[in-house]
Amino acid sequence: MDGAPRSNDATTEGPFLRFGLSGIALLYLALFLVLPLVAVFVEAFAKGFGPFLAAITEPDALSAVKLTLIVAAISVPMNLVFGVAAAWAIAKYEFWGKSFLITLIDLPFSVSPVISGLVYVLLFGAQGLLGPWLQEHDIKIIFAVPGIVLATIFVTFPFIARELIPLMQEQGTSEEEAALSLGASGWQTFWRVTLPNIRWGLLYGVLLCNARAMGEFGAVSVVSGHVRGLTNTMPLHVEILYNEYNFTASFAVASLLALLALVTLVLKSVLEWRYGDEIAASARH
Amino acid sequence: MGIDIKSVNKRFGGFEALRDVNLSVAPGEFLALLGPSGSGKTTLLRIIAGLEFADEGQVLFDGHDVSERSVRDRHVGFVFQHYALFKHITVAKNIAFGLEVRPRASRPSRQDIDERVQRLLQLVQLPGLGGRYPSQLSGGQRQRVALARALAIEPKVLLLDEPFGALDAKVRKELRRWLRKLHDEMGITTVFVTHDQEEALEIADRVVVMSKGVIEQVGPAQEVYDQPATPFVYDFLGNTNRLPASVRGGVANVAGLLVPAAEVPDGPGIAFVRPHEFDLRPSGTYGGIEGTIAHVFANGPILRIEVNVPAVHVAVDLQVEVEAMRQGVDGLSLTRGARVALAPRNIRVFPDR
Repeated sequence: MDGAPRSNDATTEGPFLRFGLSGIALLYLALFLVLPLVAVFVEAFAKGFGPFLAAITEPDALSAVKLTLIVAAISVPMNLVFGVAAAWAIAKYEFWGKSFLITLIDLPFSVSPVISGLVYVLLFGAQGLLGPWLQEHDIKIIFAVPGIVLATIFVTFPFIARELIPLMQEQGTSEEEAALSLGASGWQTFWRVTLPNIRWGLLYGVLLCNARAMGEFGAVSVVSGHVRGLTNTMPLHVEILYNEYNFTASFAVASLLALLALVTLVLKSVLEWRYGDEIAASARH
Repeated sequence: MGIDIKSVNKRFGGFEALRDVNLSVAPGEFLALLGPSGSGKTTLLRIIAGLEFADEGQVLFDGHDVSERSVRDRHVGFVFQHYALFKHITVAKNIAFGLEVRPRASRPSRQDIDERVQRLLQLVQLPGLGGRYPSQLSGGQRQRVALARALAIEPKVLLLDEPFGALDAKVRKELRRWLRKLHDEMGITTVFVTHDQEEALEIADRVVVMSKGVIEQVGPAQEVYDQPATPFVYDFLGNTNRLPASVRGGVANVAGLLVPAAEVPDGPGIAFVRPHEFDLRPSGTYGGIEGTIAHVFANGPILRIEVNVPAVHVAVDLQVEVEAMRQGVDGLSLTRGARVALAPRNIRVFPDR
């Protein structure tokens, strides 16, 4: 029995406890994560493939998909730029009010999304602070696409910045200093040294940010006005269909959203698997 | 290239990192900035490089004021303590970095860059490792890559911040001798920071000893070691015995021995004698401090002897450490309890403050 693992190591528990703990964890996962996910797809295909296809190709559903993609396509790049800028400033420089800025970045995490949506209504709505001025100039923000984008940006702002700040703080500034001392400009230093060092954290942040941007419900619900075919995103469309007892269609659209989440997860796993060594190497130094 | 530092002051918040520092580095010189942590040595190096800026004072390169120039425009080779290699690109790409970021007009051709990288890899004795990533190299190899990368831009000054601090003792010793040889071949003005006195004394032409943001002494390594200018330098460089003394009229009384101390004001003083600067004589010899042997440690050819000296000025007996070559003490009884006379060959007295 050479090389057989011995079970009486100090950190190894008996089989009963080991399988017991694993069992609890798996059961919990199955009950609260896998089961609902499966239920979404089961319900979506409950009446067969035809009704499913009809539900997701119907014009209102298509317009909801389109709007969701547009919102994500605007808010993710904006948060990418602002997130990198904020993380850079916080990690690489010392300035007055830095800890306040970090707290501010966390604000969307601690505020209920409904409140953040409401803030925009109070600011830009017809009775809001800037409402009359906006009406005069015929600019529509609330109950229109700009409001949805604003609310989404607000809610998803922390994802990229939060992912990058600890990473950049840990990496310090010596590689940047080395690049500058070798004659690189600030811009060259950013593209050739800083960005490659943070790319995995950045990618992860973007994936999370995108998943949330597409799935955001509360804030968007407040500012959207639920105009079918115009200001409905996918999560809102799911709710409307559900409230109309149109379960199959509602779950069909929901399954599309779930699919997007799954694709995000798979993408992340593939990247980690493909570039695992490199990610580990950059984390080690 | 020569470097002149003129009246440089630097504060970090309430902390005074450098206070009125003046220093000249001769062209082609190999200079060590030596001091404990917090002495300001790294700050001074970073101010020379342009990675920090002095609050007051000037930095001159060959007589030109470069105080306002950024690190990018100073054209110095800087080697960091923890290498600061770009870990996402290969060793060859690391070395080529400084050439590849140049504007198109002054950038060497692809082929020239490749050739220079190969030459530098040869120079730092890492031929054939250009395709590796930094994480695949040992610490000593990484630091040599960092050096090659700094040399690639053909700087007129090489600045090294504790270059061997993160390496183990054996590699450190090899690498510093190699660096000295490299310097002798290339003749590039080099300033390096270290807290290791052995390192500084062994390879530097001149040593600058710093403490609390002030330069304590500048001089050739041997001179700084043999004739320390201040009590701090005495304490910091090598082992030393501190013996209380009382000074009167230019003469110090050190445990019964009278030594000249012309520049020391009357009052309490401290005499410094290094362990190897005592001669052991039979008890009763004129010009010695009388004491009793407490311990003898034989370490190969060297004897380390602890001698108790009945102190005149302090309540407890003084313990003095003496180092002697074994053959130098033939004929003396060096057993515990034996009485001997300690004759200092070199003794310096400073006022006790």
